[in-house]
Amino acid sequence: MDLRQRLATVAVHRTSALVVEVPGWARTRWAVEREVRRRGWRLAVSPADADLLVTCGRPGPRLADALDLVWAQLPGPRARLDVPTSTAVADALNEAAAQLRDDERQRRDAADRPVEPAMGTPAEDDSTAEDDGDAQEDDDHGDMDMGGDHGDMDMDMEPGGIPLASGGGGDRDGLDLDVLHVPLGPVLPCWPPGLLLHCTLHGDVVAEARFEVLGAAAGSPPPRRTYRTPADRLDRAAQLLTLAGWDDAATQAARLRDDLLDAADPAFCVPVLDRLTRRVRRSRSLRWSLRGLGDGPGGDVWDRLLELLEEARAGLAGQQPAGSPTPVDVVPDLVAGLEFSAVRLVVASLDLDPTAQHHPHAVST
Amino acid sequence: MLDDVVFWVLAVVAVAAGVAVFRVDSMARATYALAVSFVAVGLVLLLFDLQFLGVITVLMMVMEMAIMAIYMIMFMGMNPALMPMSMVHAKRPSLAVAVVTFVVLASGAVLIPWPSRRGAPASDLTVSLGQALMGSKMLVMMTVSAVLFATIIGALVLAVPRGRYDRLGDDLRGRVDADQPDGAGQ
Amino acid sequence: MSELASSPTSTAGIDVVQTSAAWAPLAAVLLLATASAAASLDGGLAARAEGRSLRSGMSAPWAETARLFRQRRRTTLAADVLLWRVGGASLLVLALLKVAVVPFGRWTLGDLSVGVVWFNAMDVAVWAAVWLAGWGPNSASSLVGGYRFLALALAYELPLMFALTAPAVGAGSLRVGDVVAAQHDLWFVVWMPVAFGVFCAGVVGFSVWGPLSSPLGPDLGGGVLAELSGIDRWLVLAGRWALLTAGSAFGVTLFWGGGAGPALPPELWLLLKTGLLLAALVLVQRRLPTLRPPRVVRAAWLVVLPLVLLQLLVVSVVVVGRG
Repeated sequence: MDLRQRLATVAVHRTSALVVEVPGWARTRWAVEREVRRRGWRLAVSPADADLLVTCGRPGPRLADALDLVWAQLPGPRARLDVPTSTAVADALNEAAAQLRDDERQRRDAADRPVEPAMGTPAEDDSTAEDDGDAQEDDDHGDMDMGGDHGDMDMDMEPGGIPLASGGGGDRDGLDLDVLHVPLGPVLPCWPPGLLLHCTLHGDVVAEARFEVLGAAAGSPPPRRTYRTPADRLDRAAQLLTLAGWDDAATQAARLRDDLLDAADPAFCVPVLDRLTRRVRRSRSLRWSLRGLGDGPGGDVWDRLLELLEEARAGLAGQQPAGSPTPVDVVPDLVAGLEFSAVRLVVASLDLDPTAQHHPHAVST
Repeated sequence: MLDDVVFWVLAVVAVAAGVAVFRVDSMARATYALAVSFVAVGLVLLLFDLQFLGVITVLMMVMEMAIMAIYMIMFMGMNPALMPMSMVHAKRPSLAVAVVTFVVLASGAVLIPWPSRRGAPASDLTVSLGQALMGSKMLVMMTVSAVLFATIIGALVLAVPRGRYDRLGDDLRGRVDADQPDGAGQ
Repeated sequence: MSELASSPTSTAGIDVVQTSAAWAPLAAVLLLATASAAASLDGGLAARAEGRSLRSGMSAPWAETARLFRQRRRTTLAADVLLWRVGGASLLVLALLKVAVVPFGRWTLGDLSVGVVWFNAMDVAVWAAVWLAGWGPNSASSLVGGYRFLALALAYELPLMFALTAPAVGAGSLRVGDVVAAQHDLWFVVWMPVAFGVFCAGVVGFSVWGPLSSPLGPDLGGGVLAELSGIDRWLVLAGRWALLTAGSAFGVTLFWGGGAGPALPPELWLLLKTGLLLAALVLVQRRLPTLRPPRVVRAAWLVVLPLVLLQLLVVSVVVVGRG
């Protein structure tokens, strides 16, 4: 075995997977994430960090376009998987690992790709309705249409063909900071599936936001709804804890979620959940960091995190889930004026369900 | 011999980086070219056994340039990363000032009859530097630092005529109820 | 503890000897070896949290290294590649420059009379490195990450400077060897606990670690790391581990009596203590969530800075009182 092949064999032990959920396919994503964890692989946080792009479910055309763009951003060696159901996940990942290990294949793939990064399409442009919908970790300013709607740009000032950011009139500090239009989602870990939030940034503060939901392909069979099941609660808690930068607690929540996927015995799960809840409740630094953030009807982010855990507990105790999801259209109002990290935490803490057809006009396939 | 080589290398780096400050077309590059120039000068000071002064020059200059990066986005109206721009303004007057300054300083350095050294340097230059600064010159140093600090704050206040403190509060849409607990308005 | 500190094998009374620069590669190897041991420990703990064996996770850093060595580098549209690469690569170099003034037993690479200030200058240079790495790729999330680091740096750096001043005042010298020698009777951590705590927070800060890792946060898609791949990413990640290791080694030297200890040679003691402090910092990352920058800045200026100044006052009064 030559050196390159040996390097590839070792490298595949730590494959980094960017797992994307099409709205509705939460159960499939959980199955993939569980398998990823079981193998000692890890979940990627950005396209640059990923070897493997896993699409859970059947994306609609716009979401599929966004996925293609993300696929182009994976540095390579890379592999791509479409997992339409939660069965046979392990085999699919085996296949991906084999592709990643195949040095010859990867070299051909690399040779076929353009060397220069491609310019994306503007995310703000409504007229074309063609949205790259790229994640915020997008690699260039190309698909952040900067200052386009301010109309004060001199078209000559476009180094590299990129329109410049413009100073916005409404900057809260009077600092004349760059105004950037940065899309958040739809391909973004720890983010409601399919949600695309067009943010106007002043520095790292979101001045205003507009949302869309990119849905699943038309006519695809709707998977079993998971909303408000204990596993769903735990999944949301895990995402929130990941964003809060507490990997250990997030892993604990995610493992419990995976156990529930197998319909594990509640008698085993309840003590584990209680332990996790105690741990979270006791963490003074987490409380200090999250308290007072995103104050809304259901309290702040901290309150909502504890509520998620309590609802999971109630669900395990056999209580029927009650309550309806927070409508997505409260998001723009809630996040305006918040700093970037706060936006992510607030959105993750909200009980959003993009599969619910509350806003048919905003859901596009 | 080795000292000579190191000195010349550092000297060339310092001057070349100094030239680069005006030749590059990006704010970030100009800022850090200046930092490199200063770092090279700081390291030259180490060759004179002025260890404290040399290291503190490196420290202060790198920190200063990092802070400069903050001011850069604060006060630049456009995206300075992308906009290639000239780092030279008011070319003729600045050229005249630069030439005159250089001639005065250089002729001073060359023409002045430097006195020959009497006595030997102190065994620990850092200690004698500290005594000089914190002994008889203490009052001057204290005053200067306060004045410099006031200058920085004053310049910021003048440069940002209508800051968030007196306009909107922390909310962008004019709700002045300070509901963002982390806002700098607090 | 004071028994340990006053043992006859301590480095006190032995002059620290400056070795030739030819030993620098050995120092680099030692630094990287210690750092990789810490990374293995972290990987092991992470694996255990995920329900796998500790041992299966220990090799994760090596697999990650193989992965990144194999991965293609990438550029972004209109990136400032020069500044980007310089920023990313300098973390590792700065870590090495930091350990250059740490006495390893009797030997040190650079016996500067202002070693403590040198360390400080190098951690200020980290400001530039991280910011450049965030600026380079011309990406919003990286840039926000870079500026987040500057905001945190403004919060931790001033307390860190005063925390570094305390042992220097206690020893009456800025030379690292003298600081070690001054702890012959009593380790500084005993009567400068606040300074030690603040120093550790500073190490966590300049290594972009644990509670202060928001410049690399998952909420920014990795922040400064968001666009890095391949060897460039490895350099930043390895640089981070190396900085954490260098910080631990320096903390041990300033506060835990350096190589002082019974029976074993001082070199081994230094490594042991460094490993211990490093392990503690790894545990901090596992146990604490990341703190949001606005909260950190507030606490650093309003609470930590006055506290460390008070500590410095106490140290100065003690030193003056001793004559």
